Amino acid sequence: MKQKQLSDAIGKIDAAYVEEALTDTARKPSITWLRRGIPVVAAAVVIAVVAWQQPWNTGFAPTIPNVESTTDDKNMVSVGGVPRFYCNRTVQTESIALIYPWEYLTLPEQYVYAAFQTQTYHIVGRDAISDTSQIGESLGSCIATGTDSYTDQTHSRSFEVYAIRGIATECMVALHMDGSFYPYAKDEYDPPATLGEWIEQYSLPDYVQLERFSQTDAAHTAKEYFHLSDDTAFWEQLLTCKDAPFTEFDPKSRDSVNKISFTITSEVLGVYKRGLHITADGYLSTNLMFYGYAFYIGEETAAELIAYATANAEPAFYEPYYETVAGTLIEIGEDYLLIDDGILCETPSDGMVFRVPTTDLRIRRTLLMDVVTVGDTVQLSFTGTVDTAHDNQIDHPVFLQIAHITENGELYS
Amino acid sequence: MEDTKIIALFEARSEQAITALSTQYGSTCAKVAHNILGNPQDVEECLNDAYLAVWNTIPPQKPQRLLHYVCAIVRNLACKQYHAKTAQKRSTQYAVSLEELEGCLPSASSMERHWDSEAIAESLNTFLSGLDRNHRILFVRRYWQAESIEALAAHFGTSKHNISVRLSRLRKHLQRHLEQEGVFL
Repeated sequence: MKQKQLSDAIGKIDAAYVEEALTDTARKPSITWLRRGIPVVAAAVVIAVVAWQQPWNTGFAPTIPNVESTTDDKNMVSVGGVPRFYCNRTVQTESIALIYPWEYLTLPEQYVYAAFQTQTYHIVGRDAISDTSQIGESLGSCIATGTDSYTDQTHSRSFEVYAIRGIATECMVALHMDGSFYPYAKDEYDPPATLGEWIEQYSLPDYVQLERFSQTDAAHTAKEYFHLSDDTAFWEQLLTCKDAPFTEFDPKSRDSVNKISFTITSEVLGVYKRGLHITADGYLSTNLMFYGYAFYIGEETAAELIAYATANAEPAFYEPYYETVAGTLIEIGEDYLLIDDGILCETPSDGMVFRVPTTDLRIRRTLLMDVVTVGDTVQLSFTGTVDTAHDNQIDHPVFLQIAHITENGELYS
Repeated sequence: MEDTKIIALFEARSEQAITALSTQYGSTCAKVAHNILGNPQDVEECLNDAYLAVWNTIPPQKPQRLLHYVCAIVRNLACKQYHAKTAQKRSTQYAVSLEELEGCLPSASSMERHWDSEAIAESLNTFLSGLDRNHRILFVRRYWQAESIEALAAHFGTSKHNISVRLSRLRKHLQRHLEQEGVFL
Protein backbone atom coordinates (compact mmCIF):
# COMPACT_ATOMS: atom_id res chain seq x y z
CA MET A 1 0.00 0.00 0.00
CA LYS A 2 2.84 2.30 0.92
CA GLN A 3 4.51 1.56 -2.41
CA LYS A 4 1.30 2.14 -4.31
CA GLN A 5 0.75 5.48 -2.58
CA LEU A 6 4.35 6.42 -3.19
CA SER A 7 4.05 5.47 -6.83
CA ASP A 8 0.91 7.59 -7.15
CA ALA A 9 2.67 10.56 -5.54
CA ILE A 10 5.70 10.25 -7.81
CA GLY A 11 3.35 10.09 -10.77
CA LYS A 12 1.95 13.47 -9.81
CA ILE A 13 5.15 15.48 -9.67
CA ASP A 14 5.29 18.63 -11.72
CA ALA A 15 5.04 18.03 -15.48
CA ALA A 16 7.84 20.53 -16.07
CA TYR A 17 10.27 18.41 -14.07
CA VAL A 18 9.22 15.26 -15.88
CA GLU A 19 9.58 16.87 -19.29
CA GLU A 20 12.94 18.30 -18.30
CA ALA A 21 14.13 14.78 -17.52
CA LEU A 22 12.49 13.14 -20.53
CA THR A 23 14.08 15.56 -22.98
CA ASP A 24 17.47 15.77 -21.33
CA THR A 25 20.28 14.77 -23.67
CA ALA A 26 22.92 12.24 -22.70
CA ARG A 27 26.21 13.58 -21.34
CA LYS A 28 29.63 12.65 -22.60
CA PRO A 29 31.60 10.36 -20.29
CA SER A 30 33.64 12.32 -17.79
CA ILE A 31 37.38 12.42 -18.47
CA THR A 32 38.31 11.39 -14.96
CA TRP A 33 36.28 8.25 -15.27
CA LEU A 34 37.75 7.36 -18.64
CA ARG A 35 41.25 7.90 -17.32
CA ARG A 36 40.58 5.64 -14.42
CA GLY A 37 39.21 2.99 -16.71
CA ILE A 38 36.66 0.52 -15.53
CA PRO A 39 38.05 -1.85 -12.94
CA VAL A 40 36.43 -5.21 -12.71
CA VAL A 41 34.71 -4.43 -9.46
CA ALA A 42 33.03 -1.38 -10.95
CA ALA A 43 31.43 -3.56 -13.57
CA ALA A 44 28.94 -4.67 -11.00
CA VAL A 45 25.72 -2.71 -11.04
CA VAL A 46 24.99 -1.34 -7.62
CA ILE A 47 21.40 -1.30 -6.55
CA ALA A 48 20.02 -0.28 -3.25
CA VAL A 49 17.77 -3.15 -2.37
CA VAL A 50 18.32 -6.87 -2.18
CA ALA A 51 15.32 -8.45 -3.88
CA TRP A 52 15.14 -11.53 -1.74
CA GLN A 53 15.38 -9.55 1.47
CA GLN A 54 11.75 -8.55 1.05
CA PRO A 55 10.16 -11.51 -0.60
CA TRP A 56 6.74 -10.07 -0.11
CA ASN A 57 5.38 -6.61 0.09
CA THR A 58 1.71 -6.95 0.83
CA GLY A 59 2.08 -5.72 4.34
CA PHE A 60 2.38 -8.59 6.75
CA ALA A 61 5.78 -10.09 6.17
CA PRO A 62 6.70 -11.89 9.34
CA THR A 63 10.44 -11.67 9.07
CA ILE A 64 12.91 -8.97 8.24
CA PRO A 65 16.49 -9.66 7.22
CA ASN A 66 19.02 -9.24 9.93
CA VAL A 67 21.11 -6.54 8.30
CA GLU A 68 22.02 -4.80 11.49
CA SER A 69 22.79 -6.24 14.87
CA THR A 70 23.77 -4.48 18.04
CA THR A 71 25.65 -6.07 20.87
CA ASP A 72 25.25 -4.90 24.43
CA ASP A 73 28.27 -4.39 26.61
CA LYS A 74 30.04 -7.78 26.69
CA ASN A 75 26.76 -9.47 25.98
CA MET A 76 26.48 -12.97 24.77
CA VAL A 77 25.54 -13.24 21.12
CA SER A 78 24.73 -16.42 19.28
CA VAL A 79 26.60 -16.95 16.02
CA GLY A 80 24.92 -19.94 14.44
CA GLY A 81 24.47 -21.44 17.90
CA VAL A 82 28.00 -20.63 19.09
CA PRO A 83 28.00 -18.22 22.04
CA ARG A 84 30.24 -15.22 21.53
CA PHE A 85 30.97 -12.39 23.94
CA TYR A 86 31.07 -9.08 22.15
CA CYS A 87 31.40 -5.56 23.45
CA ASN A 88 29.07 -2.72 22.60
CA ARG A 89 29.69 -2.23 18.91
CA THR A 90 27.25 -2.04 16.06
CA VAL A 91 27.62 -3.89 12.79
CA GLN A 92 26.09 -2.17 9.81
CA THR A 93 26.28 -3.66 6.35
CA GLU A 94 26.35 -1.45 3.30
CA SER A 95 22.75 -1.28 2.13
CA ILE A 96 23.67 -2.23 -1.38
CA ALA A 97 23.64 -5.41 -3.35
CA LEU A 98 25.38 -6.31 -6.54
CA ILE A 99 23.98 -7.54 -9.77
CA TYR A 100 26.62 -9.79 -11.21
CA PRO A 101 27.62 -10.25 -14.82
CA TRP A 102 25.95 -13.12 -16.61
CA GLU A 103 28.94 -15.44 -16.24
CA TYR A 104 28.89 -15.04 -12.46
CA LEU A 105 25.29 -16.15 -12.13
CA THR A 106 24.22 -19.70 -11.37
CA LEU A 107 22.00 -21.39 -13.96
CA PRO A 108 18.73 -20.74 -12.07
CA GLU A 109 19.79 -17.14 -11.54
CA GLN A 110 20.42 -16.81 -15.27
CA TYR A 111 17.30 -18.54 -16.53
CA VAL A 112 14.55 -17.17 -14.33
CA TYR A 113 11.62 -17.94 -16.62
CA ALA A 114 10.65 -21.23 -18.19
CA ALA A 115 7.99 -21.62 -20.86
CA PHE A 116 6.50 -25.10 -20.84
CA GLN A 117 3.37 -26.12 -22.72
CA THR A 118 1.05 -23.14 -22.32
CA GLN A 119 2.45 -21.89 -19.05
CA THR A 120 5.25 -19.65 -17.84
CA TYR A 121 7.08 -20.63 -14.69
CA HIS A 122 9.45 -18.58 -12.54
CA ILE A 123 12.41 -19.83 -10.53
CA VAL A 124 11.62 -20.02 -6.82
CA GLY A 125 14.12 -20.22 -4.03
CA ARG A 126 17.88 -20.28 -4.47
CA ASP A 127 18.78 -23.90 -3.84
CA ALA A 128 18.40 -27.16 -5.69
CA ILE A 129 16.05 -29.82 -4.37
CA SER A 130 18.45 -32.09 -2.49
CA ASP A 131 15.94 -34.89 -1.90
CA THR A 132 15.68 -36.16 -5.47
CA SER A 133 13.19 -38.84 -4.42
CA GLN A 134 10.62 -36.04 -4.62
CA ILE A 135 11.26 -35.67 -8.34
CA GLY A 136 8.64 -37.38 -10.48
CA GLU A 137 8.46 -38.32 -14.14
CA SER A 138 9.98 -36.42 -17.03
CA LEU A 139 7.44 -34.18 -18.77
CA GLY A 140 9.50 -33.09 -21.75
CA SER A 141 11.67 -30.10 -22.39
CA CYS A 142 11.13 -26.37 -22.04
CA ILE A 143 12.75 -23.18 -23.16
CA ALA A 144 14.08 -21.16 -20.25
CA THR A 145 15.00 -17.53 -20.69
CA GLY A 146 16.85 -14.84 -18.81
CA THR A 147 18.24 -11.38 -19.44
CA ASP A 148 21.80 -10.24 -18.97
CA SER A 149 21.43 -7.02 -16.96
CA TYR A 150 24.67 -5.71 -18.39
CA THR A 151 23.90 -6.04 -22.04
CA ASP A 152 20.10 -6.36 -21.98
CA GLN A 153 20.63 -9.45 -24.10
CA THR A 154 18.06 -12.19 -23.65
CA HIS A 155 19.42 -15.71 -23.42
CA SER A 156 17.45 -18.88 -23.88
CA ARG A 157 18.26 -22.52 -23.34
CA SER A 158 16.46 -25.82 -23.31
CA PHE A 159 16.11 -27.86 -20.12
CA GLU A 160 14.33 -31.08 -19.19
CA VAL A 161 11.18 -30.57 -17.14
CA TYR A 162 10.15 -32.95 -14.35
CA ALA A 163 7.07 -33.24 -12.20
CA ILE A 164 7.42 -32.88 -8.45
CA ARG A 165 5.67 -35.70 -6.62
CA GLY A 166 2.22 -34.71 -5.41
CA ILE A 167 2.32 -31.21 -6.86
CA ALA A 168 0.11 -30.22 -9.77
CA THR A 169 2.31 -29.62 -12.79
CA GLU A 170 0.36 -26.50 -13.72
CA CYS A 171 1.50 -25.05 -10.39
CA MET A 172 5.11 -26.19 -10.11
CA VAL A 173 7.71 -28.21 -11.96
CA ALA A 174 11.41 -28.92 -11.54
CA LEU A 175 14.01 -28.07 -14.18
CA HIS A 176 17.01 -30.31 -14.53
CA MET A 177 20.02 -28.00 -14.68
CA ASP A 178 23.59 -29.12 -14.58
CA GLY A 179 22.78 -32.30 -12.64
CA SER A 180 20.45 -30.67 -10.11
CA PHE A 181 16.72 -30.07 -9.93
CA TYR A 182 15.42 -26.55 -9.30
CA PRO A 183 11.80 -25.68 -8.47
CA TYR A 184 9.92 -23.36 -10.83
CA ALA A 185 6.42 -22.12 -10.03
CA LYS A 186 3.57 -20.72 -12.05
CA ASP A 187 4.21 -17.07 -12.71
CA GLU A 188 0.77 -15.60 -12.28
CA TYR A 189 -1.69 -14.62 -9.62
CA ASP A 190 -4.26 -17.36 -9.76
CA PRO A 191 -5.84 -17.88 -6.36
CA PRO A 192 -7.54 -21.21 -5.68
CA ALA A 193 -11.23 -21.22 -4.86
CA THR A 194 -10.83 -22.96 -1.52
CA LEU A 195 -8.25 -23.83 1.09
CA GLY A 196 -8.58 -27.50 0.18
CA GLU A 197 -7.78 -26.80 -3.46
CA TRP A 198 -4.67 -24.85 -2.47
CA ILE A 199 -3.45 -27.54 -0.06
CA GLU A 200 -3.98 -30.20 -2.69
CA GLN A 201 -2.30 -28.30 -5.53
CA TYR A 202 0.97 -28.15 -3.62
CA SER A 203 0.57 -31.26 -1.49
CA LEU A 204 1.31 -29.01 1.44
CA PRO A 205 1.22 -31.49 4.33
CA ASP A 206 4.03 -33.38 2.53
CA TYR A 207 6.24 -30.38 2.01
CA VAL A 208 5.40 -27.93 4.77
CA GLN A 209 6.28 -28.55 8.36
CA LEU A 210 4.37 -26.26 10.68
CA GLU A 211 7.05 -26.13 13.29
CA ARG A 212 8.09 -22.70 14.47
CA PHE A 213 5.55 -20.02 15.19
CA SER A 214 5.07 -16.82 17.08
CA GLN A 215 1.99 -15.58 18.88
CA THR A 216 1.09 -11.92 18.83
CA ASP A 217 -1.69 -10.23 20.74
CA ALA A 218 -3.97 -7.65 19.20
CA ALA A 219 -2.12 -4.71 20.73
CA HIS A 220 1.26 -6.07 19.59
CA THR A 221 2.46 -5.68 23.18
CA ALA A 222 3.72 -9.24 23.41
CA LYS A 223 5.23 -11.66 20.95
CA GLU A 224 6.21 -15.12 22.04
CA TYR A 225 7.97 -17.84 20.09
CA PHE A 226 7.10 -21.53 20.08
CA HIS A 227 8.22 -24.83 18.61
CA LEU A 228 5.62 -27.43 17.64
CA SER A 229 7.30 -30.81 17.36
CA ASP A 230 4.42 -32.66 15.68
CA ASP A 231 2.12 -30.88 13.24
CA THR A 232 0.05 -33.93 12.23
CA ALA A 233 -3.00 -33.03 14.28
CA PHE A 234 -2.73 -29.41 13.19
CA TRP A 235 -2.86 -30.41 9.53
CA GLU A 236 -5.74 -32.79 10.22
CA GLN A 237 -7.64 -29.93 11.78
CA LEU A 238 -6.85 -27.68 8.84
CA LEU A 239 -8.05 -30.33 6.41
CA THR A 240 -11.46 -30.34 8.10
CA CYS A 241 -12.05 -26.90 6.63
CA LYS A 242 -11.14 -27.70 3.04
CA ASP A 243 -14.13 -25.72 1.86
CA ALA A 244 -12.88 -22.49 3.44
CA PRO A 245 -13.27 -19.97 0.62
CA PHE A 246 -10.48 -17.83 -0.79
CA THR A 247 -11.01 -14.23 0.17
CA GLU A 248 -9.51 -10.93 -0.86
CA PHE A 249 -8.58 -8.83 2.09
CA ASP A 250 -6.30 -6.09 3.19
CA PRO A 251 -3.54 -7.72 5.26
CA LYS A 252 -3.17 -4.60 7.35
CA SER A 253 -6.70 -5.09 8.65
CA ARG A 254 -5.45 -8.30 10.27
CA ASP A 255 -2.73 -6.46 12.17
CA SER A 256 -4.93 -5.71 15.13
CA VAL A 257 -6.13 -9.20 15.97
CA ASN A 258 -4.65 -12.03 17.98
CA LYS A 259 -2.79 -14.41 15.73
CA ILE A 260 -0.21 -17.12 15.45
CA SER A 261 2.31 -16.94 12.63
CA PHE A 262 4.21 -19.96 11.40
CA THR A 263 7.57 -19.52 9.71
CA ILE A 264 7.87 -21.93 6.83
CA THR A 265 10.89 -23.14 4.91
CA SER A 266 10.62 -25.78 2.21
CA GLU A 267 13.34 -26.69 -0.26
CA VAL A 268 10.93 -28.46 -2.61
CA LEU A 269 8.57 -25.49 -2.72
CA GLY A 270 11.55 -23.14 -2.98
CA VAL A 271 10.48 -21.02 -0.02
CA TYR A 272 12.54 -19.70 2.86
CA LYS A 273 10.96 -18.37 6.02
CA ARG A 274 7.60 -17.46 4.58
CA GLY A 275 4.59 -16.80 6.79
CA LEU A 276 1.31 -18.59 7.46
CA HIS A 277 -0.98 -16.84 9.89
CA ILE A 278 -4.09 -17.94 11.73
CA THR A 279 -5.99 -14.96 13.05
CA ALA A 280 -8.55 -14.99 15.84
CA ASP A 281 -11.15 -13.41 13.56
CA GLY A 282 -11.19 -16.54 11.45
CA TYR A 283 -8.67 -16.17 8.65
CA LEU A 284 -5.77 -18.20 7.38
CA SER A 285 -3.47 -15.94 5.42
CA THR A 286 -0.15 -16.70 3.84
CA ASN A 287 2.50 -15.60 1.41
CA LEU A 288 3.78 -19.13 1.09
CA MET A 289 3.38 -19.46 -2.64
CA PHE A 290 4.63 -15.99 -3.60
CA TYR A 291 1.31 -14.19 -3.62
CA GLY A 292 -0.89 -13.09 -0.75
CA TYR A 293 -3.65 -15.64 -0.24
CA ALA A 294 -6.27 -15.71 2.50
CA PHE A 295 -9.06 -18.12 3.35
CA TYR A 296 -11.91 -17.68 5.75
CA ILE A 297 -11.83 -20.71 8.06
CA GLY A 298 -14.21 -19.29 10.66
CA GLU A 299 -13.58 -17.95 14.12
CA GLU A 300 -14.31 -21.25 15.81
CA THR A 301 -11.78 -23.24 13.80
CA ALA A 302 -9.20 -20.49 14.13
CA ALA A 303 -9.65 -20.48 17.89
CA GLU A 304 -9.24 -24.27 17.99
CA LEU A 305 -6.09 -24.16 15.88
CA ILE A 306 -4.54 -21.40 17.97
CA ALA A 307 -5.45 -23.22 21.18
CA TYR A 308 -4.03 -26.51 19.88
CA ALA A 309 -0.78 -24.98 18.72
CA THR A 310 -0.09 -23.03 21.89
CA ALA A 311 -1.07 -25.95 24.13
CA ASN A 312 1.18 -28.43 22.38
CA ALA A 313 4.24 -26.32 21.62
CA GLU A 314 7.33 -25.61 23.64
CA PRO A 315 8.62 -22.08 24.19
CA ALA A 316 11.41 -21.24 21.77
CA PHE A 317 13.84 -18.43 21.08
CA TYR A 318 13.56 -15.88 18.32
CA GLU A 319 15.42 -16.88 15.17
CA PRO A 320 16.74 -14.19 12.83
CA TYR A 321 15.98 -14.33 9.14
CA TYR A 322 19.63 -15.12 8.50
CA GLU A 323 22.38 -16.02 10.96
CA THR A 324 25.32 -13.65 10.64
CA VAL A 325 28.94 -13.40 11.61
CA ALA A 326 30.96 -10.21 11.25
CA GLY A 327 34.66 -9.62 11.48
CA THR A 328 37.85 -9.14 9.54
CA LEU A 329 38.50 -11.13 6.40
CA ILE A 330 41.94 -12.49 7.27
CA GLU A 331 42.61 -15.09 4.60
CA ILE A 332 41.34 -16.19 1.21
CA GLY A 333 42.33 -19.72 0.27
CA GLU A 334 41.69 -21.96 -2.72
CA ASP A 335 38.20 -22.95 -1.63
CA TYR A 336 37.65 -21.12 1.62
CA LEU A 337 37.97 -17.81 3.41
CA LEU A 338 38.54 -17.02 7.06
CA ILE A 339 36.73 -14.39 9.13
CA ASP A 340 38.08 -13.34 12.53
CA ASP A 341 35.46 -11.74 14.81
CA GLY A 342 38.10 -10.28 17.19
CA ILE A 343 37.12 -6.77 16.12
CA LEU A 344 33.88 -7.20 18.07
CA CYS A 345 35.59 -8.50 21.21
CA GLU A 346 37.00 -6.32 23.95
CA THR A 347 40.38 -8.00 23.40
CA PRO A 348 40.96 -8.71 19.71
CA SER A 349 42.94 -11.83 20.56
CA ASP A 350 39.70 -13.31 21.95
CA GLY A 351 38.42 -13.44 18.40
CA MET A 352 37.22 -16.70 16.91
CA VAL A 353 38.14 -17.58 13.36
CA PHE A 354 35.32 -18.92 11.18
CA ARG A 355 35.98 -20.88 8.01
CA VAL A 356 33.65 -20.25 5.11
CA PRO A 357 33.65 -22.59 2.09
CA THR A 358 33.79 -20.67 -1.18
CA THR A 359 32.91 -23.50 -3.53
CA ASP A 360 29.44 -22.05 -4.05
CA LEU A 361 29.56 -19.52 -6.88
CA ARG A 362 27.29 -17.19 -4.91
CA ILE A 363 30.07 -16.67 -2.39
CA ARG A 364 33.03 -17.19 -4.73
CA ARG A 365 31.95 -14.45 -7.13
CA THR A 366 32.26 -11.90 -4.33
CA LEU A 367 35.96 -12.75 -4.28
CA LEU A 368 36.34 -13.11 -8.05
CA MET A 369 35.04 -9.60 -8.53
CA ASP A 370 37.14 -8.14 -5.70
CA VAL A 371 34.04 -6.97 -3.88
CA VAL A 372 35.85 -7.97 -0.70
CA THR A 373 39.51 -8.59 -0.06
CA VAL A 374 41.80 -9.54 2.79
CA GLY A 375 41.70 -6.92 5.53
CA ASP A 376 38.13 -5.81 4.86
CA THR A 377 35.50 -5.82 7.57
CA VAL A 378 32.75 -8.10 6.35
CA GLN A 379 29.52 -9.70 7.41
CA LEU A 380 28.54 -13.15 6.26
CA SER A 381 24.90 -14.21 6.27
CA PHE A 382 24.21 -17.92 6.44
CA THR A 383 21.36 -20.34 7.00
CA GLY A 384 23.24 -23.30 8.44
CA THR A 385 25.26 -23.90 11.57
CA VAL A 386 28.83 -23.55 12.78
CA ASP A 387 30.74 -26.81 13.04
CA THR A 388 33.03 -26.18 16.00
CA ALA A 389 34.61 -29.61 15.57
CA HIS A 390 35.89 -28.71 12.10
CA ASP A 391 37.61 -25.30 12.13
CA ASN A 392 34.33 -23.51 12.92
CA GLN A 393 33.18 -24.20 9.41
CA ILE A 394 29.98 -22.41 8.45
CA ASP A 395 27.31 -24.32 6.54
CA HIS A 396 25.21 -22.77 3.83
CA PRO A 397 26.69 -19.32 3.48
CA VAL A 398 24.27 -17.07 1.62
CA PHE A 399 26.09 -13.83 0.93
CA LEU A 400 29.06 -11.81 2.00
CA GLN A 401 28.95 -8.05 2.37
CA ILE A 402 31.25 -5.23 3.33
CA ALA A 403 30.40 -4.10 6.85
CA HIS A 404 31.17 -1.12 9.05
CA ILE A 405 31.52 -1.34 12.78
CA THR A 406 30.66 1.62 14.93
CA GLU A 407 31.13 2.28 18.61
CA ASN A 408 29.21 5.02 20.41
CA GLY A 409 28.10 6.33 17.07
CA GLU A 410 31.62 6.63 15.66
CA LEU A 411 33.16 4.51 12.97
CA TYR A 412 35.31 1.86 14.59
CA SER A 413 36.26 -0.03 11.45
CA MET B 1 6.85 16.69 -36.08
CA GLU B 2 5.94 19.47 -33.68
CA ASP B 3 3.57 18.80 -30.81
CA THR B 4 1.03 21.28 -32.11
CA LYS B 5 0.84 19.45 -35.44
CA ILE B 6 0.38 16.09 -33.76
CA ILE B 7 -2.36 17.52 -31.56
CA ALA B 8 -3.99 19.03 -34.63
CA LEU B 9 -4.08 15.55 -36.19
CA PHE B 10 -5.82 14.19 -33.09
CA GLU B 11 -8.30 17.05 -33.19
CA ALA B 12 -8.98 16.33 -36.84
CA ARG B 13 -9.54 12.67 -35.88
CA SER B 14 -6.88 11.72 -38.41
CA GLU B 15 -5.64 8.16 -38.28
CA GLN B 16 -2.14 9.52 -38.80
CA ALA B 17 -2.25 11.04 -35.34
CA ILE B 18 -1.31 7.87 -33.52
CA THR B 19 1.38 7.05 -36.06
CA ALA B 20 2.85 10.51 -35.63
CA LEU B 21 2.67 10.26 -31.86
CA SER B 22 4.28 6.85 -31.92
CA THR B 23 7.04 7.99 -34.27
CA GLN B 24 7.78 11.06 -32.20
CA TYR B 25 7.57 9.67 -28.68
CA GLY B 26 7.11 5.91 -29.04
CA SER B 27 10.61 4.95 -27.95
CA THR B 28 10.49 7.15 -24.84
CA CYS B 29 7.08 5.75 -23.94
CA ALA B 30 8.29 2.20 -24.51
CA LYS B 31 11.27 2.80 -22.25
CA VAL B 32 9.05 4.09 -19.43
CA ALA B 33 6.67 1.13 -19.80
CA HIS B 34 9.50 -1.36 -20.01
CA ASN B 35 11.17 -0.03 -16.86
CA ILE B 36 7.95 -0.65 -14.96
CA LEU B 37 6.67 -3.83 -16.56
CA GLY B 38 9.83 -5.51 -17.79
CA ASN B 39 7.97 -7.68 -20.26
CA PRO B 40 7.73 -6.94 -24.02
CA GLN B 41 4.16 -8.24 -24.36
CA ASP B 42 2.94 -6.13 -21.44
CA VAL B 43 4.78 -3.11 -22.83
CA GLU B 44 3.11 -3.43 -26.20
CA GLU B 45 -0.31 -3.81 -24.60
CA CYS B 46 0.35 -0.82 -22.36
CA LEU B 47 1.41 1.38 -25.29
CA ASN B 48 -1.65 0.43 -27.31
CA ASP B 49 -3.88 1.30 -24.36
CA ALA B 50 -2.02 4.58 -23.85
CA TYR B 51 -2.38 5.62 -27.50
CA LEU B 52 -6.06 4.79 -27.34
CA ALA B 53 -6.36 6.88 -24.16
CA VAL B 54 -4.69 9.80 -25.93
CA TRP B 55 -7.06 9.35 -28.87
CA ASN B 56 -10.04 9.37 -26.49
CA THR B 57 -8.91 12.42 -24.54
CA ILE B 58 -7.59 14.74 -27.27
CA PRO B 59 -9.91 16.51 -27.87
CA PRO B 60 -11.24 17.86 -25.51
CA GLN B 61 -7.82 17.95 -23.80
CA LYS B 62 -5.12 20.08 -25.43
CA PRO B 63 -1.96 19.29 -23.51
CA GLN B 64 0.75 21.90 -23.36
CA ARG B 65 3.40 19.23 -23.00
CA LEU B 66 2.50 16.32 -25.20
CA LEU B 67 5.53 14.24 -24.25
CA HIS B 68 4.69 14.47 -20.57
CA TYR B 69 1.02 13.91 -21.30
CA VAL B 70 1.52 10.64 -23.14
CA CYS B 71 4.32 9.42 -20.87
CA ALA B 72 2.21 10.13 -17.79
CA ILE B 73 -0.60 8.03 -19.29
CA VAL B 74 1.86 5.27 -20.10
CA ARG B 75 3.25 5.37 -16.58
CA ASN B 76 -0.19 5.33 -14.96
CA LEU B 77 -1.35 2.41 -17.08
CA ALA B 78 1.88 0.51 -16.53
CA CYS B 79 1.72 1.07 -12.76
CA LYS B 80 -1.90 -0.07 -12.66
CA GLN B 81 -1.04 -3.16 -14.66
CA TYR B 82 1.95 -3.82 -12.45
CA HIS B 83 0.01 -3.52 -9.20
CA ALA B 84 -2.91 -5.52 -10.56
CA LYS B 85 -0.77 -8.38 -11.72
CA THR B 86 1.67 -8.61 -8.89
CA ALA B 87 0.73 -9.12 -5.29
CA GLN B 88 4.44 -9.42 -4.78
CA LYS B 89 7.18 -7.59 -6.56
CA ARG B 90 9.07 -8.74 -9.56
CA SER B 91 12.55 -7.50 -10.20
CA THR B 92 11.67 -4.68 -12.58
CA GLN B 93 13.46 -1.37 -12.29
CA TYR B 94 10.17 0.09 -11.09
CA ALA B 95 10.04 -2.31 -8.14
CA VAL B 96 13.64 -1.64 -7.23
CA SER B 97 13.32 2.13 -7.51
CA LEU B 98 10.13 2.14 -5.41
CA GLU B 99 11.78 0.11 -2.69
CA GLU B 100 14.67 2.52 -2.62
CA LEU B 101 12.32 5.41 -2.01
CA GLU B 102 10.07 3.59 0.40
CA GLY B 103 12.77 3.80 3.07
CA CYS B 104 12.60 7.60 2.89
CA LEU B 105 9.02 7.65 4.14
CA PRO B 106 8.55 7.02 7.82
CA SER B 107 5.39 5.16 8.81
CA ALA B 108 2.72 7.12 10.56
CA SER B 109 1.81 6.33 14.13
CA SER B 110 -1.82 6.67 15.10
CA MET B 111 -1.21 10.24 16.27
CA GLU B 112 0.29 11.40 13.03
CA ARG B 113 -1.45 12.69 9.97
CA HIS B 114 -1.67 10.32 7.03
CA TRP B 115 -0.73 12.08 3.84
CA ASP B 116 -2.45 11.49 0.57
CA SER B 117 -0.56 11.17 -2.67
CA GLU B 118 -1.45 14.73 -3.76
CA ALA B 119 0.11 16.16 -0.63
CA ILE B 120 3.18 13.98 -0.93
CA ALA B 121 3.55 15.02 -4.58
CA GLU B 122 3.41 18.64 -3.46
CA SER B 123 6.16 17.99 -0.95
CA LEU B 124 8.18 16.20 -3.62
CA ASN B 125 7.81 19.22 -5.92
CA THR B 126 9.18 21.47 -3.20
CA PHE B 127 12.07 19.08 -2.75
CA LEU B 128 12.75 18.96 -6.50
CA SER B 129 12.61 22.74 -6.83
CA GLY B 130 15.49 22.98 -4.37
CA LEU B 131 17.76 20.64 -6.33
CA ASP B 132 20.18 21.63 -9.04
CA ARG B 133 19.13 20.62 -12.55
CA ASN B 134 21.36 17.54 -12.80
CA HIS B 135 20.21 16.08 -9.52
CA ARG B 136 16.60 16.83 -10.33
CA ILE B 137 16.90 15.05 -13.66
CA LEU B 138 18.64 12.14 -12.00
CA PHE B 139 15.86 11.85 -9.43
CA VAL B 140 13.05 12.01 -11.98
CA ARG B 141 14.71 9.58 -14.38
CA ARG B 142 15.24 7.09 -11.56
CA TYR B 143 11.97 7.38 -9.67
CA TRP B 144 9.47 8.63 -12.25
CA GLN B 145 10.85 6.84 -15.29
CA ALA B 146 12.26 3.92 -13.23
CA GLU B 147 15.43 3.99 -15.30
CA SER B 148 18.10 1.47 -14.36
CA ILE B 149 21.36 2.43 -12.65
CA GLU B 150 23.20 1.26 -15.73
CA ALA B 151 21.13 3.39 -18.07
CA LEU B 152 21.56 6.39 -15.78
CA ALA B 153 25.31 5.88 -15.71
CA ALA B 154 25.34 5.82 -19.50
CA HIS B 155 23.13 8.89 -19.69
CA PHE B 156 25.21 10.95 -17.28
CA GLY B 157 28.51 9.66 -18.66
CA THR B 158 29.70 8.42 -15.32
CA SER B 159 30.13 5.20 -13.39
CA LYS B 160 27.34 3.13 -11.89
CA HIS B 161 28.96 3.54 -8.52
CA ASN B 162 28.85 7.30 -8.88
CA ILE B 163 25.15 7.18 -9.78
CA SER B 164 24.44 4.89 -6.90
CA VAL B 165 26.19 7.17 -4.43
CA ARG B 166 24.44 10.24 -5.81
CA LEU B 167 21.05 8.55 -5.52
CA SER B 168 21.81 7.43 -2.01
CA ARG B 169 22.61 11.04 -1.03
CA LEU B 170 19.48 12.26 -2.76
CA ARG B 171 17.37 9.80 -0.80
CA LYS B 172 18.93 10.91 2.48
CA HIS B 173 18.28 14.51 1.48
CA LEU B 174 14.68 13.62 0.62
CA GLN B 175 14.22 11.77 3.89
CA ARG B 176 15.32 14.85 5.84
CA HIS B 177 13.02 17.02 3.76
CA LEU B 178 10.02 14.73 4.32
CA GLU B 179 10.70 14.49 8.02
CA GLN B 180 10.87 18.27 8.26
CA GLU B 181 7.57 18.52 6.47
CA GLY B 182 6.08 15.82 8.69
CA VAL B 183 5.20 13.54 5.78
CA PHE B 184 4.19 10.09 6.91
CA LEU B 185 2.59 7.14 5.16
